[in-house]
Amino acid sequence: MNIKTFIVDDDEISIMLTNLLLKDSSFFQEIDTYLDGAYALEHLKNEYSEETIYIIILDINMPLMNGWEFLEEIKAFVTRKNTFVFMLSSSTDRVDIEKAENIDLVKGFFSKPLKTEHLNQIQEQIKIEL
Amino acid sequence: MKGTKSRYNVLVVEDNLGDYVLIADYLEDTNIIKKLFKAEDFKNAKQILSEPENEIDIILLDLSLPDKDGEPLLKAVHLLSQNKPIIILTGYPDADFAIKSLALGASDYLLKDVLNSTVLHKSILYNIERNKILVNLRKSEQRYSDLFHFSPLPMWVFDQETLKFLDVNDAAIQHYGYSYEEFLEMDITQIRPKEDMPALNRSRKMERKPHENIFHGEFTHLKKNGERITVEIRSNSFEYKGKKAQIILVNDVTERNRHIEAVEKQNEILKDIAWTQSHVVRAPLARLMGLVSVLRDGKIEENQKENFYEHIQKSAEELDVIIKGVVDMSQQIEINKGEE
Repeated sequence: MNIKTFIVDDDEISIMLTNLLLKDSSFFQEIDTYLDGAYALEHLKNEYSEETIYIIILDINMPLMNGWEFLEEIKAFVTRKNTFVFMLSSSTDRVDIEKAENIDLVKGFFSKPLKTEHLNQIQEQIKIEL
Repeated sequence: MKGTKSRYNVLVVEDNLGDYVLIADYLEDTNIIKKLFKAEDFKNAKQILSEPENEIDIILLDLSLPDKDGEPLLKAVHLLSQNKPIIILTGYPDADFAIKSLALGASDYLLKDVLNSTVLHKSILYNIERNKILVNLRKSEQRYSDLFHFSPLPMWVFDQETLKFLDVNDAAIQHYGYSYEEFLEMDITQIRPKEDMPALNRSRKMERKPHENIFHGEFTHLKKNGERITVEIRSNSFEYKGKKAQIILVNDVTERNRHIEAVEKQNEILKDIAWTQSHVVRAPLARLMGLVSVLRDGKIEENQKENFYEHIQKSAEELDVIIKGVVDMSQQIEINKGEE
């Protein structure tokens, strides 16, 4: 099955760093980056297919549409069988972490910067889910 | 009469020698006399009563003396008596004056014609004991009155029908700025702002059970100088001099509320700081951590490194600006403190 990775983050340096890490791993084949939740939503809506596995690495604070709003929107058309969201935020706020835990689609919460161990967690989690 | 333990110092005020000798004889028979004092006129009686070491326990008073008599005499002796009982001895039965004399401070009224040692003995013991009880009762009343008047918290009693102040204590006078007399001319609406009148009227209609302590919460009151204060009110209903009344206990919480408000404001700033720490400070910090870790792992080409140093520099500067902002916010707390 085709695996597609979305990086949704308004911080370009963060995107660059995340990209560098992801490219080291063969697991993440196709990587798309979006500078806002709104752009990511638009693309996902258009191309969404149940035949593809979507890994979405999602920032919380973004100017047009933040991570929470993005999650609220995609709930309507994605399934939790093929869509796995991992929050990646500079926040270490308990409120944010607890909020993420209560959303079905969210499979993990990482504090920035992204580390290799986070990527391992993502792979393991997805293997369990599939 | 053996066996009577208590003995008393008795002052007999009597100008008629024959009567005096008779009374002294009767008193002798009662066996309860420690020392007998004799006064022939008011001047003499005054002298004896003015000496504290005489420790007079009871006064037997003839009401017709050469230098003073009747009502003025009784009043004058009562003033000098230090609340000791006065038994009036008279030759004439006068029921009206007998009753009046009791109101003027006499304890008993005896007719010389029917006097004997038994009557005297009974009257002396009875009046001394009853007087002790009365004095204690008066002290106890005074104590309760003091509890009200010297309470450090403002208190007052008002008429539930007319809303007039019936009594106010010293703390209320001091706190509100009205004199006692001014208070008694006023009703409770005069210490409340106009906008509170509807609520006051609603509250008036509520049935109050007697002796039920009610906490009413916070209200705004006005001092004489127009200053508004926030007070917590407790009340209790009771009957005061035959009127349905309420006693009010006031706790001025103006200062306390001001303090709470200041603390809440500080809390808001602290929450802001915490939020900034969690969200804003961590953004450039996370970037720095990521950049450094990539450099260390040697994952990038040599020609890209300059670019990375640039990013590190920028992130560090961004962090600096944010931390300065946090310091500014913290100083706001200090400034607020200074305002108090």
